Amino acid sequence: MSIMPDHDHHDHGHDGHHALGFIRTYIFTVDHKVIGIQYGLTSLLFLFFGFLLMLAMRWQLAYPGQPLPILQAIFGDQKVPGGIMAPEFYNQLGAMHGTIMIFLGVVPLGVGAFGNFVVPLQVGAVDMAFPRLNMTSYWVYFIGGVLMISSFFVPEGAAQSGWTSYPPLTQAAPFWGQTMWLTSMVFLITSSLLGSINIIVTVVQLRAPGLTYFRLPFFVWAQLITSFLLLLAFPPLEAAAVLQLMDRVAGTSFFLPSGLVFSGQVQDVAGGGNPLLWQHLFWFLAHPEVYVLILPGMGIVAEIIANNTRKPLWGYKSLVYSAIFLGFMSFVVWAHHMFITGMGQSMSTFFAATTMIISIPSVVILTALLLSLWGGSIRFNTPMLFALGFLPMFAIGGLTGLPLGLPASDIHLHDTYYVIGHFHYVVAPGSLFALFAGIYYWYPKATGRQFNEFLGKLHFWPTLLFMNGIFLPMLFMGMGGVSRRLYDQTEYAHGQAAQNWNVIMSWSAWLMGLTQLIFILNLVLTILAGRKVGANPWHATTLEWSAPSPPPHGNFLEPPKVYRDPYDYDPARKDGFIEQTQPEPS
Amino acid sequence: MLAVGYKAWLPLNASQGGGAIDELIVIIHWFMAVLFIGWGAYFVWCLIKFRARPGHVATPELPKAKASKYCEVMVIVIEAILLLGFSIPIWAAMRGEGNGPKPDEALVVRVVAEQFAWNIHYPGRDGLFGRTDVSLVSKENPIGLDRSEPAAKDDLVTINQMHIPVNRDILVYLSSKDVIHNFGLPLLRVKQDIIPGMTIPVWFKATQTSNALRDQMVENYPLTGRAPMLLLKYHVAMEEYEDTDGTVIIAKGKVLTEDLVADLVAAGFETVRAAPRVPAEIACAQLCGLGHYRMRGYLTIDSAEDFEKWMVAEEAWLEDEEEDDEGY
Repeated sequence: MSIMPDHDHHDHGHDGHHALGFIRTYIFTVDHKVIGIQYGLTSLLFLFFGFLLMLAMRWQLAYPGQPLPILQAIFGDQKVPGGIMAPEFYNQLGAMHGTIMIFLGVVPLGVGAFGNFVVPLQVGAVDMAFPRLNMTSYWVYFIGGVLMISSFFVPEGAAQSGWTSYPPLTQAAPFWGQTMWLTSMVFLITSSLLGSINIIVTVVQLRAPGLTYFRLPFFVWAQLITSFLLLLAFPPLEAAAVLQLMDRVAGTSFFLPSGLVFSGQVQDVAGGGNPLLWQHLFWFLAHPEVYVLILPGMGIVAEIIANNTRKPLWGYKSLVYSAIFLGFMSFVVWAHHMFITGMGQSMSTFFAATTMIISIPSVVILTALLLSLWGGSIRFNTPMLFALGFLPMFAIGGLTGLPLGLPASDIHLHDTYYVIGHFHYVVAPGSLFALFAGIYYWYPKATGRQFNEFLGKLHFWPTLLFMNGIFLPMLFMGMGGVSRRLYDQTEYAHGQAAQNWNVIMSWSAWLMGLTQLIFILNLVLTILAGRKVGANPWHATTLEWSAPSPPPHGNFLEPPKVYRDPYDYDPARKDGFIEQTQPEPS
Repeated sequence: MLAVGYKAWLPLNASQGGGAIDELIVIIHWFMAVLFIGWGAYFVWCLIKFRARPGHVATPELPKAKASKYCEVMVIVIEAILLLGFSIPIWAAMRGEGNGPKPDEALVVRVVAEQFAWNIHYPGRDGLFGRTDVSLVSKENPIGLDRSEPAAKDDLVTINQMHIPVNRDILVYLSSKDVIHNFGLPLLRVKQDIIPGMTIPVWFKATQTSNALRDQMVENYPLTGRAPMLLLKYHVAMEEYEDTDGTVIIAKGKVLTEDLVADLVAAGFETVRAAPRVPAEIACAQLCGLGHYRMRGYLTIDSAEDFEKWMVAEEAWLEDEEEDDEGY
């Protein structure tokens, strides 16, 4: 059952209508595919920028106190005096790296780009349920992104209190950077809220006839659950951001206790507030946020594994129920980020128990994807390489969450490099690999051209190697007790032991940066001169492969009807698969 | 080159409670290793056995995978054991409200953190802390201690120098003047956030003295290379070094400075056996501003006699200060 969106025939008919002009087609467009590409290009640019910030930090970490003149040339004398970055600038880079990668990079790419481009196609819809809202959510994201980057250029620089922005440190930090961070977050969160509503309504209302919920591709389920997480978890953070803004500009004290002394000056604040309130409001979003970071990736990996094993996914229902359970549980684990704040026994036991419980659906999902390989006929093309690489990398990330999720072991590991290693394994060779896989997989659909397979493999293998070169040593450093967010680890005797690792990690990062140029080259060459492909170059089953490559405005040449499950691969059939739109019995 | 005391694995453990934490970490990692190697072996096997090749087709039937159900149940059971059998009891002992030492059994110390130093406040022989007030805070009086009060007369306040006796319960009350800091003692497996507006207790017992720790942390540090002082910032020579004509360059136990390192290099030495002067350090483990990386405190774990000597010396200094009517 589906309802067609109520289109105003003046702005777009489907057949031989008046041309919209460049601005309405490519800039202020309401077409979900163009918006998806806008999100994709913008987020990839932000991802690269956030990565460059880290590459600068890695110089200071590997060679503390050694000047690097080019940094001074780029960032100026105040931030990098004598070629050595100032500690407060290092903290700015750190806070902004995290913020940009998460809110300007991975989420807009995973949800804004892939969600927007693929979901309407996979449910057989003409566009998203609310195309104008879709356009608005992209531009609000764009404004938020520009504000965030501009904060580098205000007096005393960008936010420097971590992406977690804990008060009262935010209050002691310079005024403009943190204030712009908070303002930008209000825009970014608003964009996500608008986008999530759009995806939910699209999936609920616009599925093609015959596309029941349990015939949806797992990717669509992943996006649907992700959107619920965004919708329900972001509002407390948006509220908290406003409260912190009020503390900064309106003299309130939501998060500021009485009796604060900054640099010898007793602070004239109303007082009576509690820094822990910020932490609860922040982590109430930020924990579901990490599932927002991973779920689209899991969805992408599932699609690509089914396609390249030439057989149905193992445990489709387990995958769906686990993802739903994961989404639900993600709302009740947040204080495992706060075990060390002075928590007593009951609170820590509750959150440790929920954290242990939430590991179960993750294990089920990983196991289902692994079992899906059994009995397949595995094709090792570039999207599949990245999807396969995701599996052990996500496993390391997930497993290293266990000692962090138990309060007693967390005592030693909290706020150390072990935590950085843990979450980067999940997001970097985890989510980012899945997102790369998705770009390679759906690139032919979006552009009508096939990328270069050799360059794709040349991108994959060194990236896999260097990812481990960067993040595996962090687990050992953290075990040794080295704290995170340290401008110079050699100032602590226990940090000095890690110095050799730092050199290895920095070189891995810089070489990984160079490797990404191969990816960029491949994308550009493909657009310019890639081999043209038809509707279904991967011989895949789901609805998007029935539309032309690239799909025209309106997506499908005829409204699709669905007759079968999403992964009906069968070696007895021609090319080993049956499309969802195929009415013949299997 | 990795220091012995602080390795890229668990550091030395110098506390009574730390052993249980280390044991839990090690057990969890064995569990993680079993899962990863199990999954990994199966994964690689699949990639080889089911790779696409001429004559090989996919089998559309789905495997029953009873083994994976058993594995899943085992995972849940083991996690439950780790939580109920290990983590909860350890947390209760180290953090449970009311499970700490009684204030009259332990040495009670206040630690007041600020950007970027640790103010250590001892109650003195009377066992009573003097009143502190924000209005009295000044450069000379960083914790705002009211010295006019009788209880405050014998209070000792140091900056970054914390001395504790070995094998005695220590009860620390943590507070902060400005932002969130974290009182971290890596060798003692202590880590506690300090939230402004709250006073948070943490307790522990050191089981090895600084001297004993230092002896276990002796390593050969390179004297050549890019920046030898980078790794020798807090170190003392653990052997005597003489140059070719017999004059002593540096005696055992003396601090290594840039000049002394240059002298050693000039005399032909390529490495030096050294160890941190104060092996146990207080590390701030929560981002607290631009000086977070250098908020290092020195924790000296004394024998009972040495601790008494230190207290007496501090009290003498305090008396001198009062007589001079300077300071606080």
